[in-house]
Amino acid sequence: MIADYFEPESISEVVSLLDRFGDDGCVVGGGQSLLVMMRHGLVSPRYLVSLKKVAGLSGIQESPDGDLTIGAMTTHRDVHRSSLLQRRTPVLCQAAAKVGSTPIRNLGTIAGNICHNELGGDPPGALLVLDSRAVCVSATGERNVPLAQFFTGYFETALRPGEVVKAIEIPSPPSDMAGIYLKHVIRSGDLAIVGVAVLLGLESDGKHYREVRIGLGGVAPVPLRAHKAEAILRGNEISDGVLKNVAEAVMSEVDPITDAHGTAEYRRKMVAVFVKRAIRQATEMALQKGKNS
Amino acid sequence: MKRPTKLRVNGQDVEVWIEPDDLLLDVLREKLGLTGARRGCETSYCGACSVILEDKLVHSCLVLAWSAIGQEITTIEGLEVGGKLHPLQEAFIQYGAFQCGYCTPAMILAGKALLDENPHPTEEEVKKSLDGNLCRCTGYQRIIQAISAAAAGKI
Amino acid sequence: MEQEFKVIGYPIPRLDSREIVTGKVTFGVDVALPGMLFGKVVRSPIPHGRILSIDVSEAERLPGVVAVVTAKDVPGNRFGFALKDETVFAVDKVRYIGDAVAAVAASDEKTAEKAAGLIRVEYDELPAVFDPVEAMRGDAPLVHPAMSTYETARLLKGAWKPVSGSNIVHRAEFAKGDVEKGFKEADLIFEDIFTTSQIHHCYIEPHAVVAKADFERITVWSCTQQPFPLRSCLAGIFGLPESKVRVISTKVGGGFGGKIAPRLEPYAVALSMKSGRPVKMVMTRIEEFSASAGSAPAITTIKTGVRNDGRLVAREMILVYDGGAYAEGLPPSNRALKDSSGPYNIPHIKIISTLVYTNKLRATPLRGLGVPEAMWAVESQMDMIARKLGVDPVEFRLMNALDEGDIGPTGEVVRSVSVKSCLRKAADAIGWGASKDRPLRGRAVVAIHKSPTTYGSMSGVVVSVNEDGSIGLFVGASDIGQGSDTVLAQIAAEELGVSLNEVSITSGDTASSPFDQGTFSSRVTLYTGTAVRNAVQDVKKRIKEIASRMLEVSEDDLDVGSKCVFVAGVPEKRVSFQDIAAHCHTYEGVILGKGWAGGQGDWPGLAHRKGAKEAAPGWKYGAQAVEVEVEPETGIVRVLKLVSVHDVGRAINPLAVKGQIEGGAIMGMSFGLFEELVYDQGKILNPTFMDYKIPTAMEIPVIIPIVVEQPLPQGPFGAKGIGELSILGIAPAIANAIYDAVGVRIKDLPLKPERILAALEEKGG
Repeated sequence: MIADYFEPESISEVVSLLDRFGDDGCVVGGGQSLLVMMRHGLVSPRYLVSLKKVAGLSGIQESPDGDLTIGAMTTHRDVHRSSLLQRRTPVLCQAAAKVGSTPIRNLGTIAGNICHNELGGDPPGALLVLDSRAVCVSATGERNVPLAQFFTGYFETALRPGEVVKAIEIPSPPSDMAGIYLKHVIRSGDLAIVGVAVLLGLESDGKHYREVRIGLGGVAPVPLRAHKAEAILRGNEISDGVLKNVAEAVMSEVDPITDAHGTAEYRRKMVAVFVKRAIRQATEMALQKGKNS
Repeated sequence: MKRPTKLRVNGQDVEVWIEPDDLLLDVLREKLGLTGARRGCETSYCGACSVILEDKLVHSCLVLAWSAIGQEITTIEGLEVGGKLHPLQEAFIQYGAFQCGYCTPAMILAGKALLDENPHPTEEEVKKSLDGNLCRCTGYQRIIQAISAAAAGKI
Repeated sequence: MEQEFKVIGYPIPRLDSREIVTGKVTFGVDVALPGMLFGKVVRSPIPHGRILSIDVSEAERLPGVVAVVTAKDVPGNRFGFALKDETVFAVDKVRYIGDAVAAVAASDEKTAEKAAGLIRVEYDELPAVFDPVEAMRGDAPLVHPAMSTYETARLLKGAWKPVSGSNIVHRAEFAKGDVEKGFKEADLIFEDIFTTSQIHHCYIEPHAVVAKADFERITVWSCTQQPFPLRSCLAGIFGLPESKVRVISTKVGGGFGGKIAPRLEPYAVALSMKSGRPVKMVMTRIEEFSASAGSAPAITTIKTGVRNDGRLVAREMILVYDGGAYAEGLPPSNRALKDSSGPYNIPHIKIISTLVYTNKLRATPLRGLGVPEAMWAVESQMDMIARKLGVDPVEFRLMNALDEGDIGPTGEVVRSVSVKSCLRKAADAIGWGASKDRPLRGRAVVAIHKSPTTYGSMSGVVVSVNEDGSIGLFVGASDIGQGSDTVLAQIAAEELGVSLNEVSITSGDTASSPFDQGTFSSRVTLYTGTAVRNAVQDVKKRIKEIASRMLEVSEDDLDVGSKCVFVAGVPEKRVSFQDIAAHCHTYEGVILGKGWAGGQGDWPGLAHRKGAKEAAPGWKYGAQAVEVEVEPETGIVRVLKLVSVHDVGRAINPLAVKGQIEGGAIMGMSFGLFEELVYDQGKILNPTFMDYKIPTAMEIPVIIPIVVEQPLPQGPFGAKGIGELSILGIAPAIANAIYDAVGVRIKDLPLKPERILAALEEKGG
């Protein structure tokens, strides 16, 4: 039973209210995850602190160095449609386009999504390959948490009590890297059985991988980077043979569950299939980029 | 704690008393008698509760009523003007795009949100605009045809 | 020479179109009465256990709670629309996770929910059984130890064959010819086992009822598909005459068989009686998935003997249906005896159908009434046989398909048969035999049929003429969304020669129409439709009789048309309906017509009858085809194109007919590809739309509905109905198309990606 709600206009007011209410208070962004949890009695806040009217939480900015800042309250729809992000981080736009369904994307926010950290969510993998950081604010100050450390368990994050995500920062994505997000579902609207984000760049000879980043969702307690698989590709030649090793590596790095959507074994097999696909497609794109530049 | 609240529904200002945890769906249904938006699930998957907020299709079961203050809310009841049905409503009738009718208001509003923004959608775009709305009776084909026909000005 | 129709046969928009597209329909959840309370059911969290105690004191003390009821507050009369094996609340023990033990009414939904959580029930857990094969073993815990004391509902008298002292609630056999002899004559014998999973109806409107009851009178607003049987049921439970019980069918937001049996009404009535106020109850979606009802999943062993030339000789099928905790699965398991073997000429047939109690969510009729499970086995195996024989699967079916005048699966002569023409049309429409655009694509064509209900299926109709000459039609069958109100009004209008908007139809209210068994088993167009026609013909007689006196002309010289009765050939010499009504109301009486129609068979005794007889009219035939694309890496199967051909006799409203075909076919596709209730020790793990998959618009193929009209002489203007048919063959068609694409055969539903992947890996070696 919500006793009251607040619509502060500054982030400092937000954190001050959260500090005051402690466990009884909760922020609400787009509400697309929170309200479901409330309906099922999983959370029962007495006070809601809305982020809707807080200045500076929406919008996507680019610094002179090319670093990107995405306001916490930016909806998946706006992430997907942002021409700036489509140019600079297409992998994130593709991921945002795959979240849930149209109405969910219309209201759901990027920060809400990472704070909820539901298994099979789409943005986390893409944000991981972009080396993103969550800018977290509390009454005691501000800190940047690399997303790789932000996710700590099923529905768990590194957010401390009284802390709220203000924005997501993406260090200037290299323009010669190609990114793709692939989502495997059995039916539209499902959470990913496997979500694979790949961002890679080739050496100037167009035959070797310079940098490879693989972000995975739906296959472990947290979204993660497939470091072993990445290491195999870095510096290696583009070939089908190396992809076989990558598939094996990635299967060993994941820890999927069995649920009504699929068995752990199926998820493991699919992560291999989709990592290979994503790398092939991203490689093609990178080669094209190389030709066009 | 109830508060008197002004909402803007179907182009008109309405005053309602709402609680902080009232969902927009329940305020529309219980306090404003607008029962075209319906409940079919608890996990916001069925979409029978869909309404348009500003220009966006949303699940009203996932919108706290107070968060809709200051925004234009469009429900199915707002489509008919002066006794004249909206072309989408006419299209749904002509194409037999409903059977039990439970999901129909939501489907029509999904079509409206799409066409207001994208007047000439492809079939894929029409399907995508319905991806948050379930129907068990029709198999969707007629719904897609009705929206496409309305877009093509065939009504 | 086909006569020209004026009202039927046109794609007329439904009578309720405007209210549907403007959102002004009244569903059960929209009914509001002064002083109305909100009710919730308290359900067992364990699958099997004795109830030791129920403590409602804390719930009763919660502010806002007005009444709490348990078994001691209601009569313990057993009820059930098939077998009377249930009491309103579990009395001695609970039989599945979800079994009702108490109910509470409060001023609002949240309080009722909270109060329900405060009711403390103590159980002594008992060993439970979850698998039907295990449940049939001698040492299995008994779900209903007192089964031998139960009675059947009128519907199944003589048809119920329990195995006393076991969980086998029904085991019945039907035989035509001698299968052992047949198998000896066969050159090849195929024996396979097919299984299906339990699926859910997934109507988008959750169950919603409002009850206003005291100890003298009960009024219930309900989303029921069967207002009259519900009335009898409530009257029986609460000991009232039916004349004091009224059921008003609200608009039904989809039924598909899942709104036939009482689901909330008895609790709402009990709460209303105790509180003295109206009570509304609505199911949550989680409750729908976990505590209402699902289909009857079947394990089907099918043994078919065939000659080298491709002629089917013998078919034996053993179907074991998992009935869950209460025996609403009796009608489907019974229907299997007639329909299972498929629309083919098979001299020797034996069907053994078994329904077994388990400690799980009960089975109830789900679109197709047990026949989809049988068609899954038959139409899959037909392709397997064809391929083994080296015969084209369509040719194989054509070779064996029933023709007019053949002896059908029940040993009766079948008429109005159109399997072959439907097969040819389906094959043609899917592009059978044409090369495929891409690899990994497959096609399949299947044949389907369904029997009409032959008994326990009556409809009565009354027609009146209003003072302005317009028509009132009073029908007991509720429109559950398929458009029956419009179709029946069209039939009335056509018969009387008036336009559709002259007819107003009142339906689904037990206080305002004669008896109708209800809306299920694709029966309304055929039976209620015939009753409508009969009633209108009766009213025509009366009108002519009065007109003959007013015009002083013999009745034989009169015709009816344009809302008038006129002298044949002399249209100026006429009297309008309006004049007739005015004349009647002043001098003569009231203009009324009555009619009834229904299934006239005697199925339970069929096996003992000697000599072939005419089959009950109204067997429905069709053929379906799909084209699929398989993705071997992931096991994902996409249906690209779906064809569904049905002989409906006459399409009274082609718009409604095609809509039914398309919707049913997608349900069949979903049954084939996606749906299953996932259990763990009796607990359903996926009771939400997130985790239980039905398709969105993104998953649908191109759907091609094809209507064939071979008029049924006994149907209203030749109509047979459509209803359930299009769900029947899609699942086996998809499985056959998968085989066509990638050469793997899967015998278990659903055809989920993991199964396809596993089958491909096994094949690949």
